[in-house]
Amino acid sequence: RESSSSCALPIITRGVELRGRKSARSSAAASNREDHSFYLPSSAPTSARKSVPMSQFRSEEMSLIQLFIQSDAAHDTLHELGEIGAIQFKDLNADKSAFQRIFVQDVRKCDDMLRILRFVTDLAEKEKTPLVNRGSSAAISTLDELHERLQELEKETKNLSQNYTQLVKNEAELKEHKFVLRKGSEWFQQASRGISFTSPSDADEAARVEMRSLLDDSEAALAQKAPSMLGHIAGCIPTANMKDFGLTLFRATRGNMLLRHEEIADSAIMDPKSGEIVQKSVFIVFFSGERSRSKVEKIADSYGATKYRLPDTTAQQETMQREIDERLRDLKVVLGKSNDYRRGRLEQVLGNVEAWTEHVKREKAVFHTLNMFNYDVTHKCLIAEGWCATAAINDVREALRRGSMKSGATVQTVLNVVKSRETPPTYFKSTKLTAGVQAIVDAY
Amino acid sequence: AGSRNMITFNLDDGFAEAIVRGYKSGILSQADYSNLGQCDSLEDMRMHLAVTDYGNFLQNEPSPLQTLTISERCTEKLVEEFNYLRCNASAELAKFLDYITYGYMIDNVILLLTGTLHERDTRELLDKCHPLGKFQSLATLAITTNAKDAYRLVLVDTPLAAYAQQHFSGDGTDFTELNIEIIRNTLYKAYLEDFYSYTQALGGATAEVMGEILRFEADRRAINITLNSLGTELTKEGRAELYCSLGDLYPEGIARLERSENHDAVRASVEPYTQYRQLFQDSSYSAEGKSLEDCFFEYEVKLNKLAFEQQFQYGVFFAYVKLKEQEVRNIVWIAECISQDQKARISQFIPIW
Repeated sequence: RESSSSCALPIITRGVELRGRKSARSSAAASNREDHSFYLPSSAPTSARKSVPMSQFRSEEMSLIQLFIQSDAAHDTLHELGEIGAIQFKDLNADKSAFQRIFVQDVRKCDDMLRILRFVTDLAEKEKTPLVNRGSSAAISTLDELHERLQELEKETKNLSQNYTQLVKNEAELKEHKFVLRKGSEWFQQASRGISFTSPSDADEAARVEMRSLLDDSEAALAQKAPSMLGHIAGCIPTANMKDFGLTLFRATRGNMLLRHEEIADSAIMDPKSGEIVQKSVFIVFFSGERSRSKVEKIADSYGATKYRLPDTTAQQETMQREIDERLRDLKVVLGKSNDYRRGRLEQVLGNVEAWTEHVKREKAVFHTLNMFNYDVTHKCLIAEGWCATAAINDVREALRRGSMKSGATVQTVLNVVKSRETPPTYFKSTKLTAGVQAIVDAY
Repeated sequence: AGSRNMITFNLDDGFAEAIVRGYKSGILSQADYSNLGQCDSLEDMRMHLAVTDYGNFLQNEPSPLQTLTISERCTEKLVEEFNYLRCNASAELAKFLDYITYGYMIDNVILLLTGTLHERDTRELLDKCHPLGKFQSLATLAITTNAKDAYRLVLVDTPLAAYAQQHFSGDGTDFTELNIEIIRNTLYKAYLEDFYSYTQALGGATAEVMGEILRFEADRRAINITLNSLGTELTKEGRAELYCSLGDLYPEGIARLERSENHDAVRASVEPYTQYRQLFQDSSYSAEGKSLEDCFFEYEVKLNKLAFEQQFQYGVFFAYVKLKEQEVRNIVWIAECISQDQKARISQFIPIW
């Protein structure tokens, strides 16, 4: 509806305030304004308010108001004001930097709490535990209590997680060791059968026999002989690094080495170092000499390979396999139990996490706003300045009253409308039609 | 069309240039630095940095904050921004950005070689490496004991191969402190000369802007090498090989630097070049004890700022990386002053804008 009245003029100098609910605007235009009171929590006042017809093409009337809030009542009052969302506060401390403001410690506390809550939510996401929102079930304790509780929670969760990751790492290592043993013993047997090393020829026949006897354990005499002349290193390496690893090995040892490798087909291998699922291959390197050993070890380390012990004789290999299997079984049981306990503790807490996060965010917003106010030391009150729609001043008063009641302050907050020549901010009330578009804009 | 053509530059590289100019406007200003100077603790610094372009980068760090953490996160942010530019770069710009990383690769190589010489753990050394200069086979340098091995095993696969080829094909002597420094300077010399000829080949405004910056870099290194090698085992001939064949000082200034035997002789060699004479004067007559190094940094910042005055050229990317590095150095300086309670020296950083 088009406003034909002079009330649509910029209201810089007007500052006419509505006194109570029974006032009637004595303005030139007598048309009733339809109250699209989306921001008034209670039902719209039914008094004959002869106000300006709302127009989508012009801003609402705004007035500059000053609030004198007692320090004790400040926190709760601001909560109430935040609920109705009718005031845009001016930053009276614009010249001070972020860390010089009054309530900076409280903001820091809120930041720390939000950090812990983020940490817990991330953990829950990783564990894929559903974040059931049980709402603000327990009474929201004061900020300090909540902070302490959250800090304890953080310590406990970190401890539990560390232990758990340690166990999982051990399990991954054992699994890798098992693969290495299996493959390694296969390759050893191939070597002792002399299949793939040398091409058959008389001169090499002798070499093959020697190779066989070096790796064979059947003869007791050999057991007393010096250990096999070929050293070996076995382990697991991410498949992505395999090619470069082989290349570097070849260059470093000038080709005097033998590398066998095979990809682990079972893809459920977790890298014990990084904690992620990585495609891995088993490898074994044969070489001769101590210098080569140190070189090969360093190269293996630099490519992210984990080395595992591979005993020389088949009998030892089998005993080791049995040991590993047993340890794996025990570990599985322990893992299962600790996992259950951990998830139990997490789930207990997770129900409250969302409610807590919202609460802390609100507190942080309150403290940010409080930081914008001027602190008057002599009267122990906070002075706030802000713009608000003239029509909403009543609701602001209501909120102030509620706030002082809640906090039990002795002195009521004083609301003072200031005549000012400043350009007020523009404010368009959203209608049912425009609310949708506004929501989209707000989302972005 | 690359950097030469004003009309077609925006087709390929307009987006990247816009992004880097956006990053540039987020560089901390004098007001930010004065605010940071008023901080009493690292917590306050964290609060203030949250208001700048750095945003909430420290929000997940638990409470007793350390300067090392701040330094790491700031560098991480720079690396993130660089990688974003690199991913969105056209082929020519990508090559230019890769050239920037070669300098960091050289630093990492030398870090590993020196660290292994002093028997440090490889993993620790890898952590200290600059992220922009990391490459696959970096860690393998730990097993090499001489230059020939290092070239044969590792460097030959990297873009540094061309720089290493001349020097490394020679002897197989083991590494020592001195020859690692010589290696660093030889590699860097080859890199600078290659980079310079590449930018000059690109032509246009890029050649102009980058030429100026790289010439200053070459001169600065020449002066530093001379000053640092006075009174060491490095012979004059050895020193002569490390000077680049580019820069304002080349060839006459370089010839005189070669023959210099003390600080005064060095100063005399650069007398004819006004900008360097000015820098030497500034450092000796400065009230706050500015070293020559500080004066060099200031001059570098000035040149990098000038790079942003021209459009349609690649110099802005190089200048941005260097300016951001200087900013990180400044932030770390301030953090150290605060944590060590030396607020008097807090203003001894180099302001950028």
